Amino acid sequence: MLLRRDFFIALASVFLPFASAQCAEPEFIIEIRDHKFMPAELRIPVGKKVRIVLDNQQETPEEFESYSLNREKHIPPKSRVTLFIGPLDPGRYVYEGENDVGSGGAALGMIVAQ
Amino acid sequence: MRPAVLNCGTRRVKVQAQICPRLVVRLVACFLMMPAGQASGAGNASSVDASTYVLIPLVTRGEREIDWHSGIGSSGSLTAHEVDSALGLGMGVTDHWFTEVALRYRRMAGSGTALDAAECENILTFAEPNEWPIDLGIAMEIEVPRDPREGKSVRTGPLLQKELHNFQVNFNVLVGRNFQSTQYSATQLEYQGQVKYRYSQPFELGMQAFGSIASPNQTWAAYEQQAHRFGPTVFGRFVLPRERSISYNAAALFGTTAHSPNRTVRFQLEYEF
Repeated sequence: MLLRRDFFIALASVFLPFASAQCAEPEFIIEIRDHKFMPAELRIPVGKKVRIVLDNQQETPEEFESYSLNREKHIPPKSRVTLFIGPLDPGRYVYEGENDVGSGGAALGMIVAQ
Repeated sequence: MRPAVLNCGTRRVKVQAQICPRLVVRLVACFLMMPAGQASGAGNASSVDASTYVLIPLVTRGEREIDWHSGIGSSGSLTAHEVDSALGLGMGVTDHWFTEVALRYRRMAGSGTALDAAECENILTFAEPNEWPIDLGIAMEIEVPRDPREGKSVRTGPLLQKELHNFQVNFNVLVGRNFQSTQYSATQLEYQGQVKYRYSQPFELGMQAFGSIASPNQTWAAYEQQAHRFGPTVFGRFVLPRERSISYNAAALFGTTAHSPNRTVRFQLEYEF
């Protein structure tokens, strides 16, 4: 029993650095309403990893897709998902939402690293 | 040929197929038949999956895909010419669990194409991409072969991924075990790796490497008995209307040991919907 407990303590300690690192990033929130991202242009610091919370306040699901950010995420209705972005070089990184023809095309947004 | 219009991210790209498909087949055949300086030895020919591909620790919930991967391996001093193909159907069940079922076919030198195995592949991830210093996933595959001598097998191992600016690096270690097998008595140890430069969505360049450290009877065999292949790779993705897309990657691999096919041409095509 003593050896088993020590094993799990050692195993948990391996993952502690990952857990502590998770709480250190600045957090930003992008709300999704009426098939639009708000704010449409989000400014984040250069060279820092950030946490972005996508808050879908719609009754329908939404997508977050960006080649420049290398991210694709499905956001269920009335729910939040979290993305971790960066560190980014200075520049503008475009992303788009669900390509819904009925709503006039995909919603667009931009993350500006400066 | 009529040009096709594809959505590549936010740009519409007109793609004119200038190369005749027959020419592509002839080029691949020439690549495979180039002299390698060693005579083929069919008597001790071993088999290395030519259609293998790099597993990625990335799951998109709700995304379904049809996955076709295939490969042609040339004859080496201790390997036989073979063609491997597989067709699978996969789905991101949750944010962190992807599953795929597939059928594999194989054609060895001197024999026709036959069903080789049925397999179920699962990928589990533990965090969001970039949440941890290195993205971590676990692969779990179960394979039921048509040849009972191979025995049912389970393969599992960690999948690692790291983004470094415009580079994406993947490295996987897979441990496999065959049950009730008369061909494999030892635990199989394999690795996969790739480096990709994300130049543009429809076209990315990189390198891939695949290897097996084990022989049928030894988990860590001598280098001469191991199989290693590496070579240049192209990747890309074309976005289609209604949240659909086609992703591809193709590689020309060179073997480094007598138990590796001298040359392998492999590709993977995924239709995501």
